[in-house]
Amino acid sequence: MNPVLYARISADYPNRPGVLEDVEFAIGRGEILGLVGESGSGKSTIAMTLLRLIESKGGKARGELLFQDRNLLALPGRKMRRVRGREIGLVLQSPLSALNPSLRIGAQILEAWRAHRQGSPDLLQLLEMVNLPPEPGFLNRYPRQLSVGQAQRVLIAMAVIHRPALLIADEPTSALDVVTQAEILRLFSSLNRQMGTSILYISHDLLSVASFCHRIAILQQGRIVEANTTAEIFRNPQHPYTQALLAAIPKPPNCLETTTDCPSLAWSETINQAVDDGQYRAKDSLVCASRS
Amino acid sequence: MLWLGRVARQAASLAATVLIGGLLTTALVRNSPGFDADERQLDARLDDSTRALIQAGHAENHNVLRFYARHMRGLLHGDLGMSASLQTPIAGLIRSRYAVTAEIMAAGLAAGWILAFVLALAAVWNGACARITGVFSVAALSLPSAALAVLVFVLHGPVHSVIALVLFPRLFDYLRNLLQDAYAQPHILTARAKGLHPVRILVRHVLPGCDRQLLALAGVSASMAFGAAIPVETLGDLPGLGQLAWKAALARDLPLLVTLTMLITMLTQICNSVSDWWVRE
Amino acid sequence: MKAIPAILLALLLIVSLVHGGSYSSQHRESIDAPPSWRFPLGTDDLGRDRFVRLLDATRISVLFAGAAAFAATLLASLAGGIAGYTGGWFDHMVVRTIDVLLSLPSLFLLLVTRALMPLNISPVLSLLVTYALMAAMGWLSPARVIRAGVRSFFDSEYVLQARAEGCSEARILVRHILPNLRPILLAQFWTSVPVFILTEASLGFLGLSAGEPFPTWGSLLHELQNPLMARPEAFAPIVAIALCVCCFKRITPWRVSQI
Ligand SMILES: Nc1ncnc2c1ncn2[C@@H]1O[C@H](COP(=O)(O)OP(=O)(O)O)[C@@H](O)[C@H]1O
Ligand SMILES: [Mg+2]
Repeated sequence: MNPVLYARISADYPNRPGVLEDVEFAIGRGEILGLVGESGSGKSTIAMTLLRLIESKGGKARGELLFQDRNLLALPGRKMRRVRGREIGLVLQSPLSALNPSLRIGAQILEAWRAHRQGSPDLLQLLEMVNLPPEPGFLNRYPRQLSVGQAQRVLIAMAVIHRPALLIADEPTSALDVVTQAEILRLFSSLNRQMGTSILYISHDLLSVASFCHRIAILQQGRIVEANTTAEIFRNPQHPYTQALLAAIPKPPNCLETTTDCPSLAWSETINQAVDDGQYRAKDSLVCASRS
Repeated sequence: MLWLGRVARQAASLAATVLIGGLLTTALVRNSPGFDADERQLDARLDDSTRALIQAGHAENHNVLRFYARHMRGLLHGDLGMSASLQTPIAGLIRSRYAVTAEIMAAGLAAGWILAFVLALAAVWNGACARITGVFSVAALSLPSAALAVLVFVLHGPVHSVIALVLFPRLFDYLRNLLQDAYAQPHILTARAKGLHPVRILVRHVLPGCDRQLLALAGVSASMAFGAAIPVETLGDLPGLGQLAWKAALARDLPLLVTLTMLITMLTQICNSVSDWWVRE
Repeated sequence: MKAIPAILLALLLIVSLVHGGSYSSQHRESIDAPPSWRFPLGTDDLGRDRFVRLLDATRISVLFAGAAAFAATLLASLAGGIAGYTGGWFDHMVVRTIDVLLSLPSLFLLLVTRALMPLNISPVLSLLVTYALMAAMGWLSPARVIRAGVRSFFDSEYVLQARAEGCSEARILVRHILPNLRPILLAQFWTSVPVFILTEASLGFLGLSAGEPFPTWGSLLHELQNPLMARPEAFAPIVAIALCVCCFKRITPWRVSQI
C-alpha cells in the first residue's frame, strides 16, 4: 500500500544553507512515526517543510514531497493552502503562545473550520473528543484563562477538526508536566486509533516516543542516521548516535532483573522511573521560556 | 462610575500638563537672553525715546506670573491675546490659518502612511522587496526635511508629498520591524497551518496584536507632520500655522509663541490620552 | 561598494582639515561666479569660494554634531540611569516629562527655544547655542531607551544571583550594570549624530542656525529658500549631508533606531 507521505527533502535558510540534507522517510497509513533528535538538529524544520511553511520564514525546500499522490513542493501556493489544516494538521510546541491571546477559544476553533468548510461544526463534540469540558462557557475563554495542558488540547482539536490524513506534532509535550504529558500522549494514541490518522511525532525525548510510536527515525545534524521499528531500535541500535541516545536513558537498578527479552515492559518501567527526571526537565524549559 | 473617574483623572492630568507646560514656556521665554532683544532696537535710525517706548512695552510682560495669569484669564474668555509682531488677535490668526496646515498635514499623513504600510508589508512578505525598499528608505532618511522640501519644489511636485516623504522612512522602518516581530509570533504559525488566507491572517491575527504600537505611531507621525509643515509652508509661502510659528520665532513674538506652544501641547496630549484610554479598554 | 560613501566622507573630512582656504575671504573680482578650475563650486553672492565653505561646513557640522551627541548621551544616561535606578516618583516624573516633550514636534520646540536666544551674539556663540539646544532636546529619546535598559538589568537573573552572593550595590553597578549598558550608550551616541546633522540642516535652512560668516551645512542651505533662483552648485551641501548620514546609518545596526 502507498504510504500517506513520502519525503526526500533538503532545506536551506538564507543565512544557513543545508539545514536538512536529503532527509528521506515515509509514513504509512495509520502509522505513528517518531522523529527524535537533539535540539537544533532540524526537527522543526522538517515539520515546517512538510507544510511548506518554511517559505514564510524565508527558507527554501528542495526535493520530493509526495502526499496522497501529489508532489507538494510543486503545488501552487493557493492549492497548498487547501492542504494545510484540511489534509495535514500541525500541533506546535508551546501551546499558550501558539494560540492568539486576543481571540476567544471558540473563535479560533471556528476559524480553523471556516478556513476550508462552510457551516458550523459540532464544537462540543470536538471538545469532548480531546477530553476538554464540553461546555459553551469553555469556548468563551481566552487562552490566558487556560492551563498549558488545556491549551495543548485546544491546539490538537484545531489540528484534527477536518480529520486530516496526517497530523504533525512538533514536540507537543515538552512544555508540559509529566502527568499532563502522559495524558496528551494517550490522546494522540486514541486519535490515531479512532480516526486512523497518521502521526509524525517529533520529540527530543526518545523515551516518550518509544511508548507509543510504531517506528522511530533518528535525526542528527539534518540527516536521518537510523530508522526502524521501535522494538528494533531499542533492541538492536545500529548507529553510534542511537546507541548514545539509548545509553543516556536513566536505567533504574531494579529494571535490570526484569528486562531480558521483554522490551515493552522495560519501557513502561523506565517511564515510571523517569518521572522525577522528566519533571526537572519540564521546569527547566519553563524557566527558559520565561527568560526569552 | 469607575469609567467617569478615569476620564476625570485623565482630564485633570491633561490640564495640569498643559498649564505647567505653558507656565514653563512663559518663564523660559521671559528669562531668555533674547527676550529684550527686539529687532527694532538694533535699528540705528531710532532715537532714544522711541527705544524707551519699546522697552516699556516689554516691561508690561516682565512679571512672568502676572503675564501668565492675564493670559489664562483671557483664555477663559476665549481671548488668546494679541500677537506682538503682527498686531492682530491671535485667535483670528489661528482661525484663518489652521485649515491650510490641516489640509497639507492630512494629505501628507495619508500618503505617507499608505506608502510606508504597503512597502513595509511588501518587505516583510517578500525578501527581494525588502532590499529595494530598504535602500529607498535609507535614501529618504538621509536627507533633511528641508532638503526634501527644496527638491520637491524644484521638481514642481505637490506640497504634501514633502510631508509624505519626511514621514515615509520613519514610518516604514518602524512598521517593518513591528510587522516582522508580529509575523514571527508562534500563533501566526498556527494560523498559517490552519490554511488561512494571508489577508485574513493580517487582518485578524497580525494587526490586532499591534494596535497600541500603531496608535502610538499615529500620534508621533502627526507630530512629525507638523514639524515638517514648518519648512514646507515657509518655502511655499503658504499661510498656515507652520509659517506662523516660524514668523513668531523670527520676530520673538512672546504671546504668539506661548499660545502656539500651549495649543500644540494640548492637541498632542489629548491624542495621547485618547490612545491611552483606548488601549486600556 | 558599501564603503563608497564612507571613503568619500573621509576624504572630505581630511581635505577639510588640511586645506588652506578661508571660509570668509572674499574674491571681489569674481562674485557669483560659475564653477571653474579655481572655484570648483563657484562663488556665492559675496564672492566667497563655495567649495572652501563646504569643506569648512563639513568639518564644523560633523564635529559639532558629534560633540552634541556626546553631550546628549551623557545627559540621557544621567537622567535615564538615575530614573531607572531609583524608580518611584523621580522615575515617574522623568518619564512623564520625556513623554510630553517627545510628543511635541521637535523642530517646533527648537524653533521656539532658538528664537529665545539673543539676536546680537557673536557667530561663535550662535554656533554653540544652536548645538547646545539640540543636545538639550536630543537626550529625550536616548534617555527613554537607557532607562528601560537599566530597569531590565536590575530585574535580571544575574543581578539577583549577584545579590544572592552578597554583592554590594556599588559592585553590582560597576560589574554588572555598566558593562551591559555600554552597547546601549554607544548605539544611542551613533544614532544621535545623524539626527543632529539633519536637524541642524533644517534649522539652518530656516535661518536659525549659526550666524554669518560661519558655514555649517544648514546655513549653506539657507540660500535655497528661493530654490528656483538658486544655482545648481548651491545644492552641493545636500549631497554632502546625504553622504554623511548614509555613512552613519551604515555604522549603526538596524534595530537601535528609535522613534
Ligand atoms: N529562521 C531561521 N533562519 C536561519 N536558521 C534557522 C532558522 N530556524 C532554524 N534555523 C537553524 O536551523 C537549524 C535547525 O533548527 P530547528 O529545525 O529549529 O531544530 P530543532 O527543531 O531540531 O531544535 C538550527 O541550527 C537553527 O539554528
Ligand atoms: Mg524545534
